Amino acid sequence: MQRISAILVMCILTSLGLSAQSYKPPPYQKFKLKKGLTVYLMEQHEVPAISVSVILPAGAIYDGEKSGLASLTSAALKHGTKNYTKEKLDNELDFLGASITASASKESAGLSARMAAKDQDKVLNLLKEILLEPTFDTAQFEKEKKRLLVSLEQQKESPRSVIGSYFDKFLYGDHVYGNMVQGRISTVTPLTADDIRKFYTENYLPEGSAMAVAGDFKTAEMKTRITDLFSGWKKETKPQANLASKPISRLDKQQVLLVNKDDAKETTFYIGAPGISRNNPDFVAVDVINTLFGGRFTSMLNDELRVNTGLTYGASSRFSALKNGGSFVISTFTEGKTTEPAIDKALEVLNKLHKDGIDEKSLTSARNYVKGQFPPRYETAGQLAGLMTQMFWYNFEKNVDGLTLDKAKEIIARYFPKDKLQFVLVGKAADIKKIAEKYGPVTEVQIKEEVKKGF
Amino acid sequence: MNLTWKKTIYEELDKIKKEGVTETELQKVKNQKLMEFYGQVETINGKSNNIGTYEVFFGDYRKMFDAPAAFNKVTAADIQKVVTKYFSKANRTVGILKSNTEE
Repeated sequence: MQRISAILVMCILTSLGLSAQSYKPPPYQKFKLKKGLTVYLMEQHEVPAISVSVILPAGAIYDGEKSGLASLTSAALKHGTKNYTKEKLDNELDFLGASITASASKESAGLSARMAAKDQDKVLNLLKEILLEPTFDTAQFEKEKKRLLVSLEQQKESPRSVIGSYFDKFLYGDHVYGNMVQGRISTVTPLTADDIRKFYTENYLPEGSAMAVAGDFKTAEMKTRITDLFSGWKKETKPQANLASKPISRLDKQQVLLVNKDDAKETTFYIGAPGISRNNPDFVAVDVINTLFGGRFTSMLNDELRVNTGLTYGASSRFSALKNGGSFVISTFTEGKTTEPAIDKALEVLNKLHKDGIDEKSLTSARNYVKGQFPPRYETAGQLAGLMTQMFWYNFEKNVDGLTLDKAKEIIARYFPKDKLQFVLVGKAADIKKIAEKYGPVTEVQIKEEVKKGF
Repeated sequence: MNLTWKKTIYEELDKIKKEGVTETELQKVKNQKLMEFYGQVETINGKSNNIGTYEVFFGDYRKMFDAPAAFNKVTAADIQKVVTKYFSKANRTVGILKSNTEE
């Protein structure tokens, strides 16, 4: 029996000085199939349902020049299997009230399934076919691609849909973390069903992947079932190098990317910097401080930009953590003519965090907030299955240091950027270019054009 | 244009009134409702919400525990009866949202 998550959670709680009501996730069993797939099983008997989460090293970081490939491949898994056409597959799942979904993110691809316990034979078999025996029907692929291209075209109308891609490209540069999950019109257009077949063969491999099952089953029986179903997964070595482990080049100066949208009435902006990786031992402490700074509704940022000045409807900050790095962003939007006061206010709040720090009262409040949010995040079988695959992927580390005010000061100084900030502004360039120049050298691009390979 | 889709919807309702639903269709909906219910009672929020709903609207929170069995009892004839009784023209309110542009 492995109890990493229990230990982890206990450490998180004790590290924050949380003495009362410690949350303890249920025990689980972990084992590895001969061909390399890691399996987690967690019994949850309250509701007669079962959830499965699968994580695979097949995210957009492996797209190469074919941006969008990982995303399309994951979507195409459900386009038909050895024994099921897409229609038959959809009907079968629909009839059972079950679901199997597949998606790709920047680093990984994932599948999740949910079913009534009584339907586990049928649905787990469908999951096996989708994962191991997809046919990648060409006609279905062309339809999927067409939908993606329409969606990419539509996104150009929405600053908030595209600003993240611009920012990641700006921050990560040539590193694969700058890859766009959904791809670009120019790279998606030439993709063929053969491209996704090849991507599947090279990246959907048991070694480096994990499957977590949580719900109403007996561990010994489920172990046999999963072993029977997935032992036939072909073992191959992933040909790619560990692309994400390459160093992320640090930007040495403050700069601005201005994305022009001629008809924009408002300016949407990110102010950011490099962040932390998910297995950083200070991850939880950083999360607590960020809760205060820009994570919750009553955060310093939202208080100033929304409540006190009315410059925006909402302002927030977050650390997006990946395996080998991450980003920090402050994000908000404001009317075009209040672009300057809104940016200045955001910077002022960031400076205030560095200058004044936080006090005991707000630290306690943030601890309580994080503590209160924790148990409901790991309630359902689906959430618990997801937690297990996330732990597998990111290799969470134990957090043993207490978050005292002194430690909080260190965390702020170390992880919250002070300078060399990276700005991405989406708005009407004719009106805000002068303002943008105040914050650093400006590179201007057009929202109607696609995100460039480098700025 | 307008009339076509309205007619299609009404025709489907009339079909249920006349012919009922198939056993397969009924079983599919039962399966889906059951999974929906399981999803709700998996969280403390969903549990409390359901307890309140069953107490206030169905008279007794304990009926929540019989929900799966109650779903199971529904027959195709029940569906037909309910559709005939409630999905009548007199009960109908139709809202249409359309743009004022020419087709």
